[in-house]
Amino acid sequence: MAKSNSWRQFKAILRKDLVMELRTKEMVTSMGLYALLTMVVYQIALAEAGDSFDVRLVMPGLIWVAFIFMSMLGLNRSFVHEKDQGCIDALLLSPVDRPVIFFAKFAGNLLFLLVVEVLSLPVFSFLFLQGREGFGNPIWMIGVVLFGASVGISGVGTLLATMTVNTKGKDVMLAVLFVPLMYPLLRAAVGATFAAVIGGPGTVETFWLFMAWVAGFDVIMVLVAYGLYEFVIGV
Amino acid sequence: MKRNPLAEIMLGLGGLLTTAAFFMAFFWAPGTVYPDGRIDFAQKIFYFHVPVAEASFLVFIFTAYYGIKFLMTRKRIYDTKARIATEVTLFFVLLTMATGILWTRVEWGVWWLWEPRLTTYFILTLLVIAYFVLRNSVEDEEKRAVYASAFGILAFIDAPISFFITRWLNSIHPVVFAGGEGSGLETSMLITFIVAQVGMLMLGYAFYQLRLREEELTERLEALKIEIGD
Amino acid sequence: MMDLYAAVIPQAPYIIGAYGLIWVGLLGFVFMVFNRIGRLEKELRVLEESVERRVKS
Repeated sequence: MAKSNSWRQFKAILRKDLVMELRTKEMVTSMGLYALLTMVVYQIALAEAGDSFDVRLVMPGLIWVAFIFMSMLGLNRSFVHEKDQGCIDALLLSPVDRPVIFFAKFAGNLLFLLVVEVLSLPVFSFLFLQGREGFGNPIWMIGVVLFGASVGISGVGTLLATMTVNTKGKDVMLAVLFVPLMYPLLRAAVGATFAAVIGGPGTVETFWLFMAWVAGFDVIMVLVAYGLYEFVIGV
Repeated sequence: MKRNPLAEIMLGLGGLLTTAAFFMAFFWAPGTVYPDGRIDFAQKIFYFHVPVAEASFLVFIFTAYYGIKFLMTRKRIYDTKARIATEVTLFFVLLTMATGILWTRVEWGVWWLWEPRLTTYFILTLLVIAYFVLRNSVEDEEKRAVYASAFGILAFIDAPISFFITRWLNSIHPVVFAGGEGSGLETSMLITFIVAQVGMLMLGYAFYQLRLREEELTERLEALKIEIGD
Repeated sequence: MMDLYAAVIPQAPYIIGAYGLIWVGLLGFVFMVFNRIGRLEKELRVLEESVERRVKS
């Protein structure tokens, strides 16, 4: 009984975020635009590197740099809305369980992040990888990394953005807290993406080793974030 | 507000032990040589670099511990304690970084190398600094305490990663006490190291207590000023 | 003996630097905290006396 009740509350909060997004399309467009702009910056960064070097060598790093900054933009946005419209306060007054709020916001952020990631990856390969060697390993492996790392990013990000939205200099504060905390996850995500992109003997094992690292980080960090959320959201 | 005699005893004892370790390191512990027979003088940095680093990890535990305690009880004193523990951590972290960089310059020929231990420790430094940046950017006192506690707990997760990473990955950072063949130290070196380590931990405790006392005095002064102002 | 000097002299500045930084750091911390505690205690005494005087009068 209680479980189905939480499930209904979860769906209601998630639906609210989705409906608002479908109406305004604000998050996905701003995050997508941000990713596009980052790629323009990458063109500048690689402008003098010449055509002879293999872009695949730096591609994992480049895409994760884009995704981490993009995710911060989205996370910040998602909570600025809640705060400006007094939504969080209303949620706190209503008899919704606090963990439900965490998981609903977490799911929403994860969903938006994944959508923009999946949209921007083809654009990245269209812009940078044409006429070059293809990926060494099956493409679904990249999907696995995207999902695994995005879980950690949105989980911890949901907690941190809830805090930083109440600080001076919200978005800068989020970056200061978020980037160092995410270091182990991002490092593993870049390693796994690299193994998936380059291919060759032994890379599949490397890939799963890095994915185990990602999974371990996800489990620990999301559990801690979930445990702390209750304290953070009440004040 | 009584003085804390233990803190002052620890301060004196810690100062004595670290001074003793300093002389032991240079005049008693044998020098080490490189595999090609040249003398490795920079190894002497080890006797202070490692104790300071271990102290930074150990003091950081209290940031997380008092963070949890604060969230459970909401007593302000625990937040103050967590903050002071983080301050002492920052102090030790900076000393570790400074001595480490000098050692790296001698042994590896470069000031900095993106190597697993160095990288994760650098991240730890950033997290400790971020803790204070976060505190400074929250105005509401309760919010500040809750956020700082939560972030301190999250940030602490990097400490064991940084500590164990040289044992998990191929790292060129030396692991002295790895266990197994050829690890560990000669007795006189080990004793010197232990003296320095114990001394440094005592100093860490004393620093923490002294800062806590200063904080209590400040609070009492504020209270008195308000009382007089009325 | 020449060996010893050849190894020690180029490395010495770094070792001296490392130990120097540690000593300066540790002593500086202690000195600063004691200094501040001393000042606070003095201020506190002055204030407490003035409170007492006010209570008496």
